[in-house]
Amino acid sequence: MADARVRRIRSLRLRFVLAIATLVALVLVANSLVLALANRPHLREDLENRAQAYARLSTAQLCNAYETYYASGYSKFREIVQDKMQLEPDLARLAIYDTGGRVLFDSRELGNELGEPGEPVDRGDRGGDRGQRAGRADGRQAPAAAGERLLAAVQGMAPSAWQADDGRTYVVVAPYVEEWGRHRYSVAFTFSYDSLRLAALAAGWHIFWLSAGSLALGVAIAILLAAQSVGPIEVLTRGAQDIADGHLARRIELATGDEFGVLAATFNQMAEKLARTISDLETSNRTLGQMNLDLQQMDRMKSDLLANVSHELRTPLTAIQGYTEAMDEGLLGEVTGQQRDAFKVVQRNSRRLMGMIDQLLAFSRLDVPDALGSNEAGGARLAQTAFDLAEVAAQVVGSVRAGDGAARDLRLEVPSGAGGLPPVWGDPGRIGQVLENLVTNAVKFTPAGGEIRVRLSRCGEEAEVAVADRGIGIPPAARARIFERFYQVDTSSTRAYGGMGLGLAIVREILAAHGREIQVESEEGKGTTFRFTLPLAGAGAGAVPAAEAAETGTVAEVGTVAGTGTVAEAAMVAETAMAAGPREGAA
Amino acid sequence: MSKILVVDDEEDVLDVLRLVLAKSGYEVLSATSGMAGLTQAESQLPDLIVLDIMMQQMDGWEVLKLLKLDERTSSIPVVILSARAEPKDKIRGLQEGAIDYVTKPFAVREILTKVAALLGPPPPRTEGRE
Repeated sequence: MADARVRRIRSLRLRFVLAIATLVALVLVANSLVLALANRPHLREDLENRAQAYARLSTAQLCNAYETYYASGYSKFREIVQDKMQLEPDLARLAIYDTGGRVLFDSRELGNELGEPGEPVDRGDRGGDRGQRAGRADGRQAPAAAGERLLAAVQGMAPSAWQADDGRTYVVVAPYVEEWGRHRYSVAFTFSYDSLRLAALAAGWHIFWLSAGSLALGVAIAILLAAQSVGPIEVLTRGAQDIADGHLARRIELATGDEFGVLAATFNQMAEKLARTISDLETSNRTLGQMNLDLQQMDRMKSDLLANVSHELRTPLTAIQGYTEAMDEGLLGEVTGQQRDAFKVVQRNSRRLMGMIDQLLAFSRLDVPDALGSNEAGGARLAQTAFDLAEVAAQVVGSVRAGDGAARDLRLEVPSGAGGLPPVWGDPGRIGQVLENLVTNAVKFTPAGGEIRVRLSRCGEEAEVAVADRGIGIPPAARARIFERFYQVDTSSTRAYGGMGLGLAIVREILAAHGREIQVESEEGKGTTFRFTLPLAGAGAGAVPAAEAAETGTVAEVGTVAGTGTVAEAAMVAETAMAAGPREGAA
Repeated sequence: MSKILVVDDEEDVLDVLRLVLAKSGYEVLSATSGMAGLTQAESQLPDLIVLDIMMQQMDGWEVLKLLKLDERTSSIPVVILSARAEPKDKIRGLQEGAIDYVTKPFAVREILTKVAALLGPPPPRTEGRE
């Protein structure tokens, strides 16, 4: 992965160099082409001008020399011609014609003496030896000069010049006119363009070397530039990789002062911010963890406190009850009827106090998963079994009827047909506590003579328990909160109805431990009905306890989760329960 | 006459017990700490000991253990009287050698009935007899 990244960077550098080099090379090639093309006609023109000037200057001398020496002293003439020709290296050939177009002299005759490759001279009647030449000076009747153009030029009075058809030579024909106006000879100079090619070639080489040098320089500059611009990118990339690998303390040191520098600084800021954020997160995580621990500890302490308080409260009550009973028994002397009544009041109220303390203790016990650990299973505090719900309900109803509920019309309705209600699955003791709390709650909010119904019914594979009263009802806003511990619908109700607001919270917790929920439907002024269900022991009794056992390990948690169940949910279930109402009535 | 030792660091509870038991015709010894109770038990060798559990310094569990370790006192029946009402505490008490477990607050009648069952009915009331 890292290799790939580095390789990509290298290729970036290479691409950069190649791009610049190609650019330089292209510019140079274009320049050389333009230079070469522009140079060539210039050189050619230069040569042609030179040729014309040479022709003008040399014609008279050559013709004079021809007249004076050709016939008499050929060697002298040759010397003159050679000297003349050496003055102009581009001059390849010169020939003297008469006005008839006949060749009087051709420099190729000098052939070997000039050191040039001897070519056959296209003069028709070339003499065998030099001895004959003098005698035949005027008598040579060579055919017309090659080509009509040459013939016309030779016969013309004005100098003329042209390029040969093959483009390799330049021909200048200059007439020789004597002082008295007689035109006797013309001289044809043939200039070779060969030197031109050499010059062009030389120029080409110059351009080539110049180009090569420029190219090398360009590449060097390109490499430098690439290093300058790719280097920071590499540094940035390495830094970013380091930071990505978790080295948040790493900073990118890049003081280029350009955009790269700004980028590096921004990157550093980002890394710093990241490091700060992460450390903040860690700190708050630790704080949260600590807070969580503290909360757990506080919760434990609260439960311990609750347990201790209820224990401590029992002791003074013991003395109060003991003395009251002793006095009531007459152990401290004769007791009048009025005193006896007073003792009864004291005893009743201390019993009530005891009840509250017991409730407090029961609730704290629900909360603390067996702090003393007498139970091997840890927190498994439900002793679930198949039991007769009707029997438990009858016991509860009986005891309440004997106590606080004496003045109410409290009745238990159990399905009668086909053997009644089958056994249910649960902790009979705890379910008894649930029933007792619900019935006591109903009694508390029902005026004397009022009606309270505990109705058991079968509902598919479940048994449903409904505790209905015709009491004051619960305002809708309070319905979701009545299961919170210590909650009272209004604070004045504490005084009017007593209790600590723990009863329903205990109900909810116990049912939650069973994996059940308590539902409530209520109408203000008309009464309240609480409902819950329990699985029948026959229906998958094997499976249910297993699920239950899994839940009992974390009773407090299950309770909390159930406690946050939405009101809408409860209302929905309540409606369902209402719809099912008539069927139960028939049962 | 049967001797009953009551050990409880709550003076009021101790008083009411002493009153009720004495009125019922038992000789009552009392101690307000575990250590004092242990000393009394060893020196007086009562017929029955009523022992509180939650006491400062030496608690009822320790007293019970030491009583059962001493061969002079190991055979004296001990009734535990405790504010701890949980079944596991009751079970522990019985396992460690207590003969009965009564939770606070207790009914006077309950205590008297249990004591009578253990020691036999108290002699007819002969008040004023030391």
